Amino acid sequence: MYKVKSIENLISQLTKLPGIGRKSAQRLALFLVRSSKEEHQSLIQAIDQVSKKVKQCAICGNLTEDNPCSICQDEKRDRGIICVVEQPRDVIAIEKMGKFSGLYHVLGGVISPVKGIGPGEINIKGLLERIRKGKVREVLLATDPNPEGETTAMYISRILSPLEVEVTRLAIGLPAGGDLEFADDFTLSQAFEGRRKFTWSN
Amino acid sequence: MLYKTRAIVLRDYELAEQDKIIEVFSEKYGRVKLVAKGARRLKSRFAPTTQIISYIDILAYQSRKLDLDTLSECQLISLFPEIKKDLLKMVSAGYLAELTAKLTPLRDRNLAIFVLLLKSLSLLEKFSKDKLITLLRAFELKFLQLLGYGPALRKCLDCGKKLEALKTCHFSVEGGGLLCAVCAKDKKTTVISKGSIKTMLYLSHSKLDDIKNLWVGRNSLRELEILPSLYIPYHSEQLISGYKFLKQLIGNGA
Ligand SMILES: [Zn+2]
Ligand SMILES: [Zn+2]
Repeated sequence: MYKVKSIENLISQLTKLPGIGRKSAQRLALFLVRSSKEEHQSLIQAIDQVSKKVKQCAICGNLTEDNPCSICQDEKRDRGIICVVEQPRDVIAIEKMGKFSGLYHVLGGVISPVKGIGPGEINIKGLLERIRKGKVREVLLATDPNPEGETTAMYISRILSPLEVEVTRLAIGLPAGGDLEFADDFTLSQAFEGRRKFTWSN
Repeated sequence: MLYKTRAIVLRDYELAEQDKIIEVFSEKYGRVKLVAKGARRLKSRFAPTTQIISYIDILAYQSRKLDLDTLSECQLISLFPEIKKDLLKMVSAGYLAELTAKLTPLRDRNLAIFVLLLKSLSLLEKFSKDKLITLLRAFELKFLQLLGYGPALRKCLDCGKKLEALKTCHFSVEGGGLLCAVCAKDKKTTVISKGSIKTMLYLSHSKLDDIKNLWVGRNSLRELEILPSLYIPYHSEQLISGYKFLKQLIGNGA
């Protein structure tokens, strides 16, 4: 334990960050202590801006400063297709690939049968509302190619089965495993091109 | 120390960068947590082999101080593809994994639990959906017995009167089993048919394979719900959230 109370406090705040253990937090804290007042201010400001400006898009659930987000507002994007992803970071990965021009729906999580996370805890209701409004002809399920992503895809396809909309799934599929955000652009664009019809039960 | 064992993957957690932690129930060491480096990358050698509800053969380093071992090699024995392809089967398997993860102590070898879990998943893989609920109840009863808190069902917990001699059977969640009408007085109990008590006894003691030929009536299936809904949460002092989702799916006719 450091005897300087404010440094100790900073360390314990930093340990809350993902992937930061006590040792790394200490290293970061001591680095910050040594940096200039100006550098402190710009870091504080950046955090302050994020906290004040960033919110969830009321339509797609992605993180945005404008509401609706720039993708939902973009008239050039194909409103007939919605790509369903787990997290905002997946939108970033797909946009970086640059071959998808439809809209997104961010679930903000994933159904986990082993952790008891059910469909009520992710944003499926919002997706249903968007589809019921019509105009959507295809829902492309781009949840991760692991068992939880697959379970989520099966659940959504089951919920959508009474509606008149085509449900497709990225062509990565089990048993690939892994997270979508770490897919390279080539794998990802192949997965988009090769997407296929998807059903929830055999 | 380097060790080798077969194991079933129960859960996984994201770790910094592209790593993850997997929690397994192993043949030789019971429930163990392991770091799988790079397992979240799509093309990682660990990505296809460290998925939840998989049967694997592992080589790992045991940590001296922490409860977190390091996965060194991992080979897939079975992915249980039929479970993974079906929503209801996957949620059922998830429920079994959640029970195992929450109710067994860390690093406590228990071969019987390992065999029970493996056998249950193998049957889940093969069974048609109408046998699924019975399989879950059989797992619960056998699992509770192995952990030492299975319900006592052959005679009244208080006076010892035999099941056969009872007219009405009362089930006490808190007492942990059967009570006769006299002993049940002024106690919180649920009346359960003798047929359901006998079904529970049968499921506790018969082989899992025998469920294939067992027919359990609607009424008994409904009465046996007391196990996941009240008995397990009370005795384990744990909330098993997977049960709620499972019940919702079955209610909707999945
Ligand atoms: Zn939006
Ligand atoms: Zn009695």
